[in-house]
Amino acid sequence: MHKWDELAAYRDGVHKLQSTSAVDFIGVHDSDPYFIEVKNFCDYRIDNKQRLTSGELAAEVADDVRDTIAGLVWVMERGSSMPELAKLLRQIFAVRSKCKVVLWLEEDRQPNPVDRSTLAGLIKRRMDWLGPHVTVRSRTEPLPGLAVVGAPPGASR
Amino acid sequence: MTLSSVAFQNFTVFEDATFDLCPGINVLIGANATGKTHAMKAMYAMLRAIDKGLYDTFWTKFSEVFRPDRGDVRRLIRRGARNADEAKIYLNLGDRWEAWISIGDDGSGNAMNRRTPTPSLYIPSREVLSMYEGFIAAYQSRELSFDETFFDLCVALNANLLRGEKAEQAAPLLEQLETMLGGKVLLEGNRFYVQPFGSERYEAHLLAEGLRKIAALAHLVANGSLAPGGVLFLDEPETNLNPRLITRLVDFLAALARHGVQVILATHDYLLSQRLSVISEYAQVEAPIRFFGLACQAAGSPVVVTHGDTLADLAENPILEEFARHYDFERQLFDGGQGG
Repeated sequence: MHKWDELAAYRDGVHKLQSTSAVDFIGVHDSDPYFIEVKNFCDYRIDNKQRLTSGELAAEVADDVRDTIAGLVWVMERGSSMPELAKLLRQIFAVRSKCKVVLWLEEDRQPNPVDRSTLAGLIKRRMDWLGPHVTVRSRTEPLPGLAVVGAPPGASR
Repeated sequence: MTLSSVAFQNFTVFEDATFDLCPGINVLIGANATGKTHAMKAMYAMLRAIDKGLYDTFWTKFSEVFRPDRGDVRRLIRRGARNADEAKIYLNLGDRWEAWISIGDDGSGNAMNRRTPTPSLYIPSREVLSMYEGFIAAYQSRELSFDETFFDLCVALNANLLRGEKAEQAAPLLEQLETMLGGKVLLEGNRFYVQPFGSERYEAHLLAEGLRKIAALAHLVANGSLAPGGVLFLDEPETNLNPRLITRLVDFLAALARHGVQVILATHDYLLSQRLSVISEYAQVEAPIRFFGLACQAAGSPVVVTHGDTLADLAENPILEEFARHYDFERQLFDGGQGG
């Protein structure tokens, strides 16, 4: 997995276009491309920020994936100074199966499976152009084979 | 032969709407009063009329299924629409048109390509096992305020059990339902019973209402009323079923579709619709699944129909939207109730 929004390929590429966004991680696992967006809503009330509704959250994730793919296409076109990233991009764009979008959502409240299913459904609907598999996970329902250590630095709210 | 498409013009809530159906499972989703039941009943009425060769009296079946005042099928013409003096329905089976009907103020008409019997069954949301006893005779001799789908269903339940090769073919489906039920269904005299495995039988009236629906399905499989080549209409099958049974019902419907029965159902249920969507997304069944979204943009405007292979393909999904609103409502309460 690569921290996409910290890579030079992102910062020097599509990130220069204002109002673009990006997912936190990209990678290939078990031959499937993964786009992982992390949201940490723990202790959120203390910051008194406006919470995203489920629809706004779904829209944000969908836009993050869209802009990430656009950014990756830019990198593919222009080559990459990181051989490892170049290899990853070749893998991602060579895959013929559906890609996987993961919203990693940490909240104070206990995760409710119906809520997670609802959120995944909203995200899928925003991304009908891509038709990905979507799942909403957290530390209590991790992805098999994916190790998560600590709260990711700069995890967005 | 499966229903491939049905087009409605100025029929009840539809001004110009087409359902391009798949041969497997077709799922209609929409808020109340968006025409889901009307569409299914119209398809059913046409298939039944074709099946009986009612060349000149399609509207008789429509009258009995819809029960408009005074039997006047012109009340099914869309009201308040431009040029709405005539309703039309076109029905295609397989790769060709099969029949059309028109209902107008100036008269009615119909045409049929050729009579292609396509057995069909309509199962309403309300269970019928508990009303079965004496219903057929009562319906034939008295005016009852049940539409003819109830009568047709009871007649289907009355058929004798299959035997031989056809019974063997139906056995796996029947076993699924009997497992859900925990026993076998018996029809003795004019009464239904359930015989739990290893226990004494009891009257269907004593069975939970949701399980009576499962029992009815089991008997229809056992007597061949649900057989390959037929079409099954299910109106809100989730009624009176707890989520565990809904999950098993989805598995049964997938098996039924693989068995060669085309399924057309209307639902308001989150679990039922989501489970079908997920198994379609991950290609977990051999039979195709298609979703239809029925939506009205404004009060009085015609219902628009869209379709897709999963729920995500529908622009509007009132079930998902209401669950999302509930999620937001609960989060608001949680956040507002913390920290003092």
